[in-house]
Amino acid sequence: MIKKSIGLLIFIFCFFLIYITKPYSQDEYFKYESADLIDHYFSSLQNGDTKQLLSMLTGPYKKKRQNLLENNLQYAEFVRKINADLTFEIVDMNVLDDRKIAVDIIVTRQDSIEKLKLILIREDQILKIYDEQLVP
Amino acid sequence: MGTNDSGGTLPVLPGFNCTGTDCDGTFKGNLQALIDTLLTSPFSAVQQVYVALVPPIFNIDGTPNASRNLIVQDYNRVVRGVDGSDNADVNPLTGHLIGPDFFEFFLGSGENRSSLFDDTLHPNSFGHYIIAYLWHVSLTGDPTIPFFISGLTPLNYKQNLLSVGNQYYIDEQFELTTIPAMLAGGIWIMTSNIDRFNADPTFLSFSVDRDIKVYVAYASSSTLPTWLDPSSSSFIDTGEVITTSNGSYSVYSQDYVGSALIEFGGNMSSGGTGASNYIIIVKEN
Repeated sequence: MIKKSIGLLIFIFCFFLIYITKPYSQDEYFKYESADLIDHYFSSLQNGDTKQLLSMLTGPYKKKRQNLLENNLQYAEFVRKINADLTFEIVDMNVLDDRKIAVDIIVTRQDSIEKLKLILIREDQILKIYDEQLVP
Repeated sequence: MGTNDSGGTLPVLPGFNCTGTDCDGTFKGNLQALIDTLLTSPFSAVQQVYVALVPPIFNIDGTPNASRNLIVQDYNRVVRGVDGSDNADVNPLTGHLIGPDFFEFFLGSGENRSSLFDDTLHPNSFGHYIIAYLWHVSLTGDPTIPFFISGLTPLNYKQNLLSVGNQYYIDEQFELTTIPAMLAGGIWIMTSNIDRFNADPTFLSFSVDRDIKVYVAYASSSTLPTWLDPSSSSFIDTGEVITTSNGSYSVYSQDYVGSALIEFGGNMSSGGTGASNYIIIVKEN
């Protein structure tokens, strides 16, 4: 009886040990990393940190906003003001391939709710925001 | 350029009163570059550039999106060259003529016309049709624009031009299969089928400024609400039927003379048993 109980306890212990040390799958890690970037991106928006924001962009989105972020001295204040009361919620994440992931976000400002799709891409091992699409 | 610039996490700065490098990447800077490009070779045939004022943005429930519309109104001040207090831009946009004012038409006139939008940003078929007329008015001075209905409530309902194969509810994929000839050219009020259980005595309303005929299409083989039943109202049974991928709807009509506020009860008000919400079509008499 004691032997059986000890055997059962060892089994349960081993089960939990395996469970808690189970590594993230590649997709799970990608999503975790993306959520971290999005979090960082939105806090930079609220701080109006244009230098930091520019460093997080790449591809077509960077091309569209580079001039404003890099050269326009009024833009930091505008970004800070427009995003002062912003809240966001990640509602979905879809890994597109081993470099790209689509993140659906609901952004709330004052009275308005906006749905956005951010496309993130891994570039030289660094995850960046590649495009932003408005969902009507 | 315009509506989409005002949205997202990094909206484009309007640039009113900006000069020099402060205009870099702004709405004014980008629009000036576009106008200059159109007015120079290889577009030398371009004689005049008209810039329409940017239309408003709505929320999904049809209410105006106030924060984005503030930015849109700033874009429109750039196009006009004056701010809200009529102060001129110190470095105004040049080389353009001002086209139709879509903001004023869809929202600024004191009436919310989100019923002419398909979603929060894009006009529907009828909205596009009216936009073409607004361009015509702006370019020719001819003030004619098509008849449309005003003050439609619930605010998320739509007025649209529909034909066979089109979706006729705002919230269901059912399609029109056959439409009686008498309804050709009518304005369809796209209702929500989730409202089919509504029993309010006054649920849907709109206004008109001329003589019209209103057609109400009600789920066939149902008990009619008293406000629609020809035995207890002024509606008459046309004997015509609209068929759809969701069954058929019998069509009843009533004439209205002159300006009128028209109100109807909910689908299941006063004894109605329709399993699907009714549809309304309005035609000028």
